[in-house]
Formats: sequence, C-alpha cells, structure tokens
Amino acid sequence: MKLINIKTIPWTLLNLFFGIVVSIVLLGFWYSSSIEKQFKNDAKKQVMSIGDLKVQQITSWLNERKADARVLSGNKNNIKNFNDFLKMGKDKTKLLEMFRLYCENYDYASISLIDTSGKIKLSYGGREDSLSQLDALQIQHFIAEPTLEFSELHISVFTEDVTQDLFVPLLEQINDTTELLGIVLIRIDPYRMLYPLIQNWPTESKTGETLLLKKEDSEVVFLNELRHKSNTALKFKLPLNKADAIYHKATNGEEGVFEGEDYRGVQVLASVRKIPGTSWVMVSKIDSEEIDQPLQEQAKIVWIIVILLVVISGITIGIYWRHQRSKYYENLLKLENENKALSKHVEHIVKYANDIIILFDDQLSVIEVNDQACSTYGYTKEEFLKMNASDLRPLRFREELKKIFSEYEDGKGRIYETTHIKKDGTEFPVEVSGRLFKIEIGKYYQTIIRDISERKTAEDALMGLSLRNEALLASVPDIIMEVDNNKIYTWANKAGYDYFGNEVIGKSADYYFEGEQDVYNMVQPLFDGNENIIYVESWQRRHDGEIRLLAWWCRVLKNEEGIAIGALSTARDITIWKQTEEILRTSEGKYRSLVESMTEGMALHEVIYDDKGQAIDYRIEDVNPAFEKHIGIPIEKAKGALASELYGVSYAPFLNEYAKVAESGVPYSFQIYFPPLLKHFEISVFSPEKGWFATVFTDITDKKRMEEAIERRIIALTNPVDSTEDLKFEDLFNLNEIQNIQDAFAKATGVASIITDIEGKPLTKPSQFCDLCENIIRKTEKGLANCIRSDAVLGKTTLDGPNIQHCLSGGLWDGGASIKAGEKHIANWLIGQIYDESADKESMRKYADEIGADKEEFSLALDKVTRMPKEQFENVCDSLFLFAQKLSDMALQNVQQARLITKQKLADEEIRTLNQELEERVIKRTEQLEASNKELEAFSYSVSHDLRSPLRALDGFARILMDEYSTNLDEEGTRLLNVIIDNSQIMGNLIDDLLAFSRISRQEMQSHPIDMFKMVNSVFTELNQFYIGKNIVFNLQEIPNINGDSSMIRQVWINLISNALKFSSTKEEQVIAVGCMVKEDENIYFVKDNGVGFNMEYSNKLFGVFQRLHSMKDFEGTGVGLALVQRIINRHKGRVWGEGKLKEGATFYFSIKDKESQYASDKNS
Amino acid sequence: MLQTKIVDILLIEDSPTDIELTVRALKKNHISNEIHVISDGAEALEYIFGSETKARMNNNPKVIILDLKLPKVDGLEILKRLKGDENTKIIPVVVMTSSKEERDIVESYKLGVNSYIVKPVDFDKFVNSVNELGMYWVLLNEAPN
Repeated sequence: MKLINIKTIPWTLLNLFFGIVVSIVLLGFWYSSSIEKQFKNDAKKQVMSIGDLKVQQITSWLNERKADARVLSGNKNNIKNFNDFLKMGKDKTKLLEMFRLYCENYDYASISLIDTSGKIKLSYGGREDSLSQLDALQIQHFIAEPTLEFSELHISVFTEDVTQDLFVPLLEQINDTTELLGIVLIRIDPYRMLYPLIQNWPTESKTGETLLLKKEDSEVVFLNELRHKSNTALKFKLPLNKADAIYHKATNGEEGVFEGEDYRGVQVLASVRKIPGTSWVMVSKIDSEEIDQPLQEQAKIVWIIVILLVVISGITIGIYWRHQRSKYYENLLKLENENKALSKHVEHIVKYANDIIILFDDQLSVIEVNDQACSTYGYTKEEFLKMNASDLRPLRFREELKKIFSEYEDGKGRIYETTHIKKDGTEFPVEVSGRLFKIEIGKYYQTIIRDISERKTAEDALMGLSLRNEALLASVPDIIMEVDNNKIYTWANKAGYDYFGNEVIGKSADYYFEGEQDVYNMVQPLFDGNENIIYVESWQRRHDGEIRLLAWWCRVLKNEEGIAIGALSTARDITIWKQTEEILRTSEGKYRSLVESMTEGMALHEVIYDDKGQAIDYRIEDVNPAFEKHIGIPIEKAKGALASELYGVSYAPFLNEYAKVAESGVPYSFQIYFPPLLKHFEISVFSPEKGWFATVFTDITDKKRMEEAIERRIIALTNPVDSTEDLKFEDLFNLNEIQNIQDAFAKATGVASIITDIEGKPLTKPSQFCDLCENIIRKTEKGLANCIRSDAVLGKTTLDGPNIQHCLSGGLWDGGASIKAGEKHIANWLIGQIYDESADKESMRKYADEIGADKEEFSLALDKVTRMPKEQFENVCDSLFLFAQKLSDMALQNVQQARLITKQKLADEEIRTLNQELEERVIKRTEQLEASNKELEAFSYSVSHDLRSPLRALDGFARILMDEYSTNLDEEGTRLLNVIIDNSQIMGNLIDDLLAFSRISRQEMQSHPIDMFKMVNSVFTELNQFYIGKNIVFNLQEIPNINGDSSMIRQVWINLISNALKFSSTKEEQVIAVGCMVKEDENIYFVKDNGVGFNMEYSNKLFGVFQRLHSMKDFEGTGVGLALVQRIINRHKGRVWGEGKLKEGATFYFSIKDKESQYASDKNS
Repeated sequence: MLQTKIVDILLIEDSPTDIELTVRALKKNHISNEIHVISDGAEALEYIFGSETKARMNNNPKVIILDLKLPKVDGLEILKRLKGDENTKIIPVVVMTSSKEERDIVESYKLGVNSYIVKPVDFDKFVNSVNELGMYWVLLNEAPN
C-alpha cells in the first residue's frame, strides 16, 4: 500500500493556496483597472459629445438670429417703410408694430432704429437714449463698415444688464450703388435664451455643467451664470496663473478633453471647444468625483468577489487537507493491521517451517529455534538455548566454524554444505543458509538449515547414470568409436564391436582401411583444432573380411585446456546406398542406349529467340541413330545445326508448334506431311525444360499410303450397287485373305483353284495348279487364251448350283461358281484340273499339238494330274458353290457397310460445312453489326458536333440582332426573332436528348445494389424545386431494392417523376404516388399522378422516340423521355407500360426481376 | 512587325460563325486583349512550331482555345503536340468544342488539357462560358515565367 507522507505543515497545499490567492488578487486588479479604463473612456466620450452638442446648438442659435435679421433687412417692403420713415417720418406706427412682433416672437429685449448719424430714431422695448457711449462708438464703427454682426456680450451702462447686440444694416439699392439708410439694433437678453441653452445638461448629472468663457488681458472672464456660483456673468474673473486649470488651457486656445481643476478648484473632466465666429470658448465639464463614483462601486463588488473566491479556495483546500489526513490515518491503521498479520504469519512460518531456523547471538549462542529444529536434532527448545553453534557439528567440523561466521561480517548471505550431528549422535548432511543482521540491540546470526540427506542420496544415484549413458550408446545401431590422439581405438559401442570384432580396442584405425585411402589427412583438421566435426567416407574391412563403405561423422574430443585428445566418431554402413547410386548412374546410360536403339527417330532441340523474345529458329542439339534412318541426314551433320539451314528452308519446320511446347511444357502430337523429305511423319513433342523440346517421330509414309488405298476402296464402294456400275472384287475384299481361303480350300480338296474377274483374268495366284495347266498349256499363247475363255464360261452366273464342264483348253474337268455383289457379277471362283477315267486321252494329245506344246511333256504332265472320280469332284463343286454364295453375301454386306459409312461421312461433312457456313455467317453478321455500330457512333458524333454548331450560330446571331439592333425592329420583328431563338433552343434540346438516347444503348452497364427508396426521394427533392409554390402531395411507399445500373435507373425515375409533375401541373393539388408491387419473381414499380392523363387508344405511341401526346403549347418536351425509359428497362431485362385516362391521370409501370431471380437468370445465361 | 506582336489568346477554330461569336463574347466582356485566330489545323501547327514564331511562343499566348474538329490536322493532334513539346507544354490549353462525347473529354484530359468546355447552343450561356474562360485564363491565372 502506498502511504503518502503527511507532514505536520502541508507546504504543498499552502503553496497552492497562496498561488491561488495571488492569482485571484491579480485577476481582480486587472479586471478593475480594465473597467476603470473603460469607464474613463466612456466619460470622456460623453463629455466630448455633450461639448459637441452644445457648440452646435450655440452656433445654430447664433445663425438663427442672423437669419431673423436678414428677414428684417432683406424685405423690399421693409426697406421702403424704413426709408419713408427716416426720410419723411411716415409709417412710424407701422414700424413700431413690426418691431413689437419681432420682439415678442423671438424674445428679443428691444429693437431700435438708428439713422446714419447714429441717433436712435425709433425703439421698441428699450429706451431711446439707451445707447451707451460704447454703443455709440460701435455704431459709428458699424456705419463706416455696414455688415450684419453681433456685438460682444457686455453690461449695459444704463440697465446694468448683460446684453448682446445684433447690428443690422438697412441697405437700399439705387441703380448700381448701395446706400446705407440706417441700422436696426436688436438687443438680446442672454438670460432669456443663451444662458438656458448653455446651462441645460442633457443627462442626469449632479455636477455636469457647460460654461462660456473668454480671455481678457491676463484674466479669464466667465460669460454666463455658473452652476456652482451665482452672479457671475461677465463679473466673475480669474487670473491666469494656474497652468493646469481647465480655464487656463481653454484660454490658451487648446481644444479637446482634459482633466484638471475648474474655477472652484475641484478636479473635473472637461471638453474644451471654441465656438466658431466668436471669441468664446466653451467648456463642458463634469466632476471627476461623479465619474469615479460608479467605478468605485464596481470596484467594491470586484473586491468582494475576490475575497469570496479566496475564502472558498481556502475552505476547499482545507477540506481536501482534512480528507488527506483522515485517509492517511486510515491507511496507517490498515498498515498496522497488515503488519500485525504479517508478523503473525512470519511467526507461524518460523514455527512450522520445513527448514530448521536457528538464531545465534554474537557469541554464537543459540537464542531462538523453531519446532523443526527441535524435531530434527532431538533437543528441546530449553536445551537448545543453552547450546552453542559448535555443538551442532561433529567434532571434526568444529574448527572451521569461526572462519565461516567471521565471513558473515560483510553483510552478505552465504550458502554452504556441511555435516551436523543430532542429539543421538547421528550425523547428517545439511545445507546452511546464513546471514548476519544488526539491529539496535546487537548482532545476530540467522541460519536456515536444511536436511539434505535425501538430495545426497539422489546425487549418488545420478553418479550411476554415466553407466546408463554407456548402455545407451551401446544400444545405438550406428557404430560409435573413440580414438585417441594417435588414432588408436580406445572405446567402441556394441555396433563397433560387431563390425570390427572384439579385438578392436588398442588397434590403429588404419588397420581396417582397405586400399589406398586418404582418410587420415581428411580428418587431420580435427586434431589440429581447426574443425569440430568432419564427414568422411571410407572403405573398411569388416571382422568377417567383407569390405564395406562406412560414412563417418567424426567429432573432436578436447581436454579442459581445449587441446584435442582424440575423436568420437559415429559410422554407418552406406555400401547399399552407394550401390543404388551406382545403379542409378548406369540407368541413365541404359536410357541412352534405349534411345539409341529405338526405331523412332528422336531429336533434342533448343529454341532460338530474337531480341523481342520471339522464336525464330531451333537448333538440333542431339539425335539418335534412327533419326538418320528416317530423315536421311547423317548424325554428325544434324548435331548443332540450325533447323532452317539443315532442311534448306527459310522458316524452320513446325516452329510455331514446337515453340509453344517449349514455352508451355504441354506435350503435343501431330501427323504431318513434310515436304522437304516428301514424307509423312507422326511427331510427338515434349519439353524437358523451358526453351527446349524433344521430338519423337516415326515415318508413317507407308502407313499413310495404305490408308489412302483403303480410302480409295471405300470411295469405290460408295456407288450404288447395280449391274452397270464399276464394282470390282478386289475393292470389296482383302485379296490376301481371299488368297488364304482359296489356298486352304485347294489344299483340303486337292483340286486346283483360282479366282478370276468376269473376263477370266486371274485376281488371285493359282493354288494347287497342275504342271499341265500351269507350266505347259498356260505357257502357250493359244492355251492361255483358251484357258481364260473357258474360265469365263465356267463362271457364268447360275443360281441353283456350280457349273461343271470339261475345260475348253485341255479337256480336264473344271468347275466354277460366280461371285456377285447384289446383282453385279464381280468374279468367278474356279476349281478343277481333275482327270477321270472318262476323259479322252487321244483328243487331249491332239490339243497339245494344236496349241503347240511338247507332246512328251504334255503326256508326262497329264499323268501327274490329280485323278478323282467325277462324283467326288461334283461334291467339291457343290461346296465351292456354297462358298461362292457366301462370298457374294459378304460382298453385298461390304458394299452396304461402305455405303453406310459414306452416308455417315457425307452427313458429317455436310454438318461440318453447315457449321462452317454458319460460323462464317455469324462472323460476317458480327462484322456488319460492328461496322454499323461504328457508323452509328460516327453519326452521333457528327450530330453532336456538327448539328450544334449551326444552331449556336442561329441562336447567337439572332440574339446579337436583338441586343444591338432592337431599336430598328418593330414588335413583330422582335417576336419573329424570338421564334428563331426559341426554336434553336428546342432543336438543341432535341439533339441532346437524342444523343442521350443513343448513348444509353451503347453505354456499358454496371450492376450494383440500388437503394430505391433513397433514390426516389432524392430525385423527387431535386425535381420539386422547379415547382416551388405548388401544392404537391408526394406519396412514397417503402419500395424494395434492386440490382442494376444506378445512373440509368436514376434516369428512369427522373423521367417518370418529372413527367408526373409536368402533366399534373395544371391541377390545384398535384398528387404523385410512387410504389411497388412485389410479384413472384419480379418487382413492378409505378409512378402515378392525377394529371391530364392520356387516351389509352394512343398508348402504343407512348414509348416511341419523338412521339408526343400533347402539344408543345400545353406541355414542353422533346418526346424522348419515355423512349429512354423503355430502352433502359429493356436493357435491364424488364418491361415498361403505362395506363391512363384522359383528364384523370396516368400511371407508368416498370418491372425488374428481383435480385435473386435476376441472379438466377444471370447464372442460367 | 506582325510576327513579334504579343498574342494573349490564340483561337484555333474553323467555324467562322463560332469565331465571330467567340471574339464577340470576349470583346463584350472586355477581354479583347490580343486575339489571334487560326482556322486550320495545319496552319495552327505551323504557327506554333514554325521557326519564325517559335521564339515568340515561349512568352505567350496566355491561353490557347482549341476546337477539336479542324480541317487537315484535328484538335486532339494539336493538343498532343502542344503538351508533348517542352516549350509549349506550359501554355494553358482550353478545348472548346461542341462535342459532349465522353471519349473526347477523356482523351483530351489524358493528353493534358487544362480545361474542357462544351459550347452551349444558348448564346447567353456561350457568352458566359467564354467570359469565364477569358477571365480565368487571361486575367486571373498566374502563369509560370
């Protein structure tokens, strides 16, 4: 717990308090001084403005008087009256009446008329002799220079009143000269008018006063009656000997606001001003005391607040201090309690601790032990207290005790092990932790003693562990050997003994080396101390004499000084691995030989690239012998050559395909005709690494030719089967197979056999032919022709059985059966050359003559001819007939099969052609579409640019005409110009709308979630500002959101809502409703208004471009808005429609699939 | 002497009516400082990059008003040349054209145009646009020396 130290005097708090007091006081000072300044300023301003007011009032009063006088003297009638009176004594009463009126109206004291000689001729309100000497002098002076002017304030000699005179010259204009007729003297009593004017103080003030004064020689004369002194006008004078008195400054010509003494000697604030046109100075003043009074009150309040603040802060800090103190004591109490608990705790620990705790004094006598000590040593506590530290040790350990205790003097604790003795004399090992501590009363040694008998036992057990280590090493399957510095084996584990035999210890390591090995040199760095671990492989003799390869990990052994004293090495028999490695190495050679011996050609190539990474050629890096066989180019010539050079072509063959494989690593196979060699190849390409490829190829030229032959056969078989067509046996059957059948038949039956075409020309090789026919008759020209003729006859078609007859050439028995494909006779299978007893030998000999054969040979051969009874031959012929019929069936089947295949092929071909055509048509159509799109784009671009330009000219020049030549135009002309301007605007709008319309179709659509409610609200707010002042009710329901192009959908809302607003604008109250009907898979949004509506008859025109249902005069518009809406909604795969009734309103709907189903349809598409 | 006269506004525009309207609009707003009109793209390039006039182009004009559709060489090409040349790239160029096409606007800004104005059909608006343009680029804008 943190305990804040509480001092008796809380200096920090006191300092804080003083700081607060000083700052509050300073604040008070600052505040009151700033108030004072402001007050002074205000007073100055007040005095100054009062001074200004007074000066203005006095000046204007003087001017008024002068104006009165001018009225009197400027009136021609008056002048005439004065003239008449002065020259002829007429009109006296009239003039007196006039004077009286003046006096009474303007409150003058008197008005007198004085002639040019200075005598009073007429007077009202004054005495006629009242002109004093001074007056007379002034009059004389005035007559000499007649101007309208005031006299000074002075005391009349006669009346002893303060007066002021106004001299008014009466001037008569005679021709060009002005003549003075006389003077009117207006006498003014200042008590009546001037003094009240001066004395009046415009605000409520106890001391405020305005006074007039003037300098007279070395004195100042006060001209009016003063507030604080009576009977002063012109009588009260003060000497000018006080420089800072206000009146002194005033008479010195200074103007402004001053502070100083006034005539009473009282401190005042005064504004001093000269009165223009007079020698008067005006002083407006107020006593400083009066000004200061409210200030002092204010100051009083400020200081009261200051004192209050000081008191409050003092109390606050006091309370805080008390709180701190009480908290401190609380904490103190808590700490004390904790301490108590702690000491109890410690006591408890000491008493019941597992360790022995003994306290010694500086004489090493025991002064305290715990229970554990008693129970361990077997002494009672009382016994302990009589004992000394040395009593706890066996005799032999007592000597060192003093030394140990003296070491404690440095204040550090020590831990050591020793042996103690119990009361019963048993010794036991202990660990002692001791420490010296000094307190006021003296030195104490505290020891904590632990019985470590068990630990010792455990340690002893640990000693036995090294044996276990050895056992562990022994059980490792790897060989572990230890050598000393001289490479003599000093230790081996079981595996080591197993390998090297039991006598290995003491043998030099090289004793087991086989062959010349450099192992010693390799491991030398270990013994030099340069390496810690070294790996070597070496061949070593096993105890049974076998030589194995061992892999050694040798680790150096070092003594305490870090010098190598031997090595510990583990070894593993790696002979089998080595052998496997060897096998692997040889297997590569085997593959090599495989490649060498295979019949397919094989070649390895590297692709050659240009600077831009484009494949331009490939180099043949390696080829196998078969390459030479297939390609016919020697290996030496091929290796390292560039493909283009090797094959003598400008572009390396199949470079594209090969480069692709070398790049992608994807294998590829193809068949191709290779023109440079006039051969067909089947080529497989694969890439062993990037930029390389290998080809395996076979010469398939023969195979190709065979395939072509088969192809030809099939083509031949595709024609319809009837007797006129050119069907051949050899096209329908594989002649080799037929030959085999024929040979087998001949062998089995012993009759000769051959298959011929229908003209008798052989199609197969003869089998079992007799010498007579083959080598004698057929060797003669006549004989051969007869044979063929006979064969042809033999093959004549019969349905019921074979033809059997004597040979037309030679007369032996022959048989035959025809082979047909459908109705077409295509071949004959002939057998025969059978001699039976019924044959006419003589005629046969004659035949030999006939064909020019050797008679002798003929006879001999005839004897060798197969003899068979006729019945047997007939049986053979019957079976032949069956065979032939079967062949006929097969022929027909073959034909039909071929036809089917052909049909299929044709159909395939047709489909392919159709597909290709279709594809071409699609491509062509796409191209056309693209072209027309481009055209459209170019069109709208030029519309945008070129159509606007002349419009601007139209509008611009029409306006210029209007601005600058309107004076030359009559009303009709102006109207016509306006028509031009309006129409060019309309045209401009049309173009803009049209462009927007076409842009919508071209624009790419984005799809995002749209907050429809928010969008509609913002659109309406935006549009509503064009209808301010209208009574519009807008009903917007909660409407669902949608995915779509937000700028397009916004355009839809703008167009629909602005239409609704526009077409309902004629109504008193416009009602617009926006809502949505949620259907199964689509949302139908609508905008409804109560406007002019439309006739459903024309609903089909609603969405056409430039289609309008209202005249321009009624409603403006271009007729593009709804078309745009339709286009946008169509692009969103939705529908749009409108419903309306004339004069009752219209509702426009658009549907959009809701998010999920839209998503689904997207997925399907 | 014509070659060295100070030109404040270089107007590159081929439509004679637009030229007249523009000049009128500028004069109406007393921004008639010095307007030089070129009505052909090739001629404009010759004027800007020709050897006789090159030196002068370093100091002025204060702004070039450029139409996009021009005979021979179109406005975008001229803009490209202007903004690609170290000497002329600091001259502010304002494209003033009838085209509202997005691609024209985007392409012009890509080439570094300083401002893009679509000529309104309405003459009053047109006068306002030209006025603001002139006010800003000729009278207010502080060009680097």
